[in-house]
Amino acid sequence: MDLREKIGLLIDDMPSMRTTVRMQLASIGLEKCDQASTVKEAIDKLTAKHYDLIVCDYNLGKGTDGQQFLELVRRKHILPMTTAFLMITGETGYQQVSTAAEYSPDDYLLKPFTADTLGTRLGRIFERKEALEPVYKHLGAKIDYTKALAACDELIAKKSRYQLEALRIKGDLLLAKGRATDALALYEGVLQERATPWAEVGKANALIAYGNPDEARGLLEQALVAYPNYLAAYDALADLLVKTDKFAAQQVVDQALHVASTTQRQRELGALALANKDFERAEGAFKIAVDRDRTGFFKSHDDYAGLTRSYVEQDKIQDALAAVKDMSTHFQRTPELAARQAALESQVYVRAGDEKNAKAALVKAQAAQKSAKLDINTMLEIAQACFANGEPDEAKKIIQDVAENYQEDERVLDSIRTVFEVAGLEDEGALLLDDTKKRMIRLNNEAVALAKSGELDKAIMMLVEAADRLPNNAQVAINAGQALLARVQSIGVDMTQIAQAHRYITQAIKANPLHPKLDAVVAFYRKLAPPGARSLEI
Amino acid sequence: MEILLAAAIHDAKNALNALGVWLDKAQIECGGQSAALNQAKSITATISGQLVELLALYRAGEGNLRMAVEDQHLEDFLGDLITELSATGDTEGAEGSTAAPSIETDFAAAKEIDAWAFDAYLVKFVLLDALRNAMRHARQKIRFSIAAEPGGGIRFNVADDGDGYPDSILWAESTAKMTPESSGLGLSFARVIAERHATPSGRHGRVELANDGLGGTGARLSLILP
Repeated sequence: MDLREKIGLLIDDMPSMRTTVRMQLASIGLEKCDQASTVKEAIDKLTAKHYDLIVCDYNLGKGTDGQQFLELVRRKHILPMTTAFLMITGETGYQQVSTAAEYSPDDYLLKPFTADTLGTRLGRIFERKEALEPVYKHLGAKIDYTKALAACDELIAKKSRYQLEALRIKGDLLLAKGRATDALALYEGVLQERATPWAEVGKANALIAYGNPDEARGLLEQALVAYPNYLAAYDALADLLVKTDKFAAQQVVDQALHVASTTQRQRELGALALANKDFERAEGAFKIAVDRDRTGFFKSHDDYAGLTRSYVEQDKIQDALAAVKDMSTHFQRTPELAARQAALESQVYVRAGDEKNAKAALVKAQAAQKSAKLDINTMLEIAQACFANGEPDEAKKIIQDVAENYQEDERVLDSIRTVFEVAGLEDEGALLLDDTKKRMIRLNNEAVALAKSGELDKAIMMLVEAADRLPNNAQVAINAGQALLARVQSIGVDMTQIAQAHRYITQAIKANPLHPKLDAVVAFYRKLAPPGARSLEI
Repeated sequence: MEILLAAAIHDAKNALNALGVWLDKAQIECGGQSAALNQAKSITATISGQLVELLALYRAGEGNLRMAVEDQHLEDFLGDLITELSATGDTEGAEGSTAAPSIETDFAAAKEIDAWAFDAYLVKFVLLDALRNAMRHARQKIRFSIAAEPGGGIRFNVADDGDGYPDSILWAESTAKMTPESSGLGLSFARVIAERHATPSGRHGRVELANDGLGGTGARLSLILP
């Protein structure tokens, strides 16, 4: 493998290690190599330039590690799948890397190693990347499932040396697409040949998608006896239990933390402990999440919100106020941050019995809400503060808006339920969510009825109004597109309406690229769109 | 204790690694091959391996041994193993002895099986130890092979043409005894690592010792992974 044309980025906080590895890389032909000593520097470099290879040390200092870095850049799509990622670890880091659940490096190398070994491993990684390139190129920020699956099938059919990797990717794609039966068959096929942890977890996930959670649970519990360090199995089990038994879920996350204490898992544990009213445990978990990462790169506003609530629930008012204040030193000062801080502060003051300060903080949060577009969690925090201040109508107004927008997003709906629960208004919350759901269904039904009775224009007006108001509701946007296309079909091509349909379908893709009704409306658009109209890609 | 022990072993391993680098340098300075230096390198690698084994056994005893079971391409894994063995001077032969025993490999089944899930790091040390041990006891030849195990599993075989295991080792299946030639560390390690490899259906790995190696009487160690 010729490494001379490759461009590398070496990330390590220790200058001496950088020098050593840099020399080793040069000795095997990789001369073009930039260096970074911190996560921030690495992200800046990655954003500015294309690299063929990242060589990253597991331990990056300041409470950060290479695994966190890898997860961050993959999740944010800063690191394309075609770029090779080699992790260098000591003996303790390697289990965490090799059993990392969702995002794993292309390979990892245990220190100490020779330049020869480094060369062999890099050669292998690049060979594999090249062989899988036909698959990877469809797995960017926007995933082309059909093409990626076809590319996997081709590699499997010709019994490529990398058919195993192709199978793994194929399984993930099938699961993401909700093709449970096909995924189940794939994993069972692999397991018939041999036992391997990824296929066990894959099979369990397929069973869950298939609607058989009990069998999945049994399977995962059994898998964990054989593979007690396989983090993906803990994650899958915790995901499954969270819906039915939050105490059991907390236990599973706790066990996973003993295998690998990552910030993400501490965060999950904190959230579950809060839900289970285990406030001391929640405090501990969130504290680790915010303390460990001294760069501020991997923690979020939510971690501080969780910590604040853990303190408040234990009447640790001063600690709670300190946590809110601490956010200013760790995050960029944005309207988002100001609103979150004010909303949290207001709740702390309510608990402390300080009505005046509570109200003042709430007013500040509400002002921020009017002046900027805030993310869901911040909006819900403000709603929570409204409840705490005895302004339930204000709270419900905010929640209503979020609920209508994210009608089909179970995670958001869950967060809403939690807000009501914390406010002690569980039943009202269930009622509001139920009403919202019915209202959205009614809207769609009425529109369909109007269309059927020949009043297509009225239906379009209704749906377009709703779609403009609810940019994150995929179903409404799909229906708006559908109605516009129906008009084109019955009356004839109108470029304005074609463009409008394009806009709403694109809005739906953005809101939920996996919506089950998306394929049909896209096909409808492609059928009707005349030459010259904009094309649609899912 | 865990932290102290791990840190001490870590330091010792780094020191041994540095020693290895100096030995490489010495070999270049003395113009290529030196049987004495090869021997020194081989001993360095052996001690380094023993430290890894010791730490793993300690952790296993404490209930903290962590395994990273993942798919391994068998051909790559075996290739790496052979490279490591020759890089540490083990295949060069000691001073004063006749030529080092030759290693004959049969990896045909590796291509057929393609991949298997196990902890590559720990299994590598089991096999390196077995190979080094065979190297010490073989007369001329060692045979290192891999095969599919009927009923599920894979089997690594290390066989030599030496005198075979003494009865004390052969019959003490579960408790590795101290013998004049060996501390029993390698065997205990191999057994623990084999046992810790398991499948959800409850099958475990194991180590097999027998004197049916090369020539029908040499030693054979087999590591069977489920």
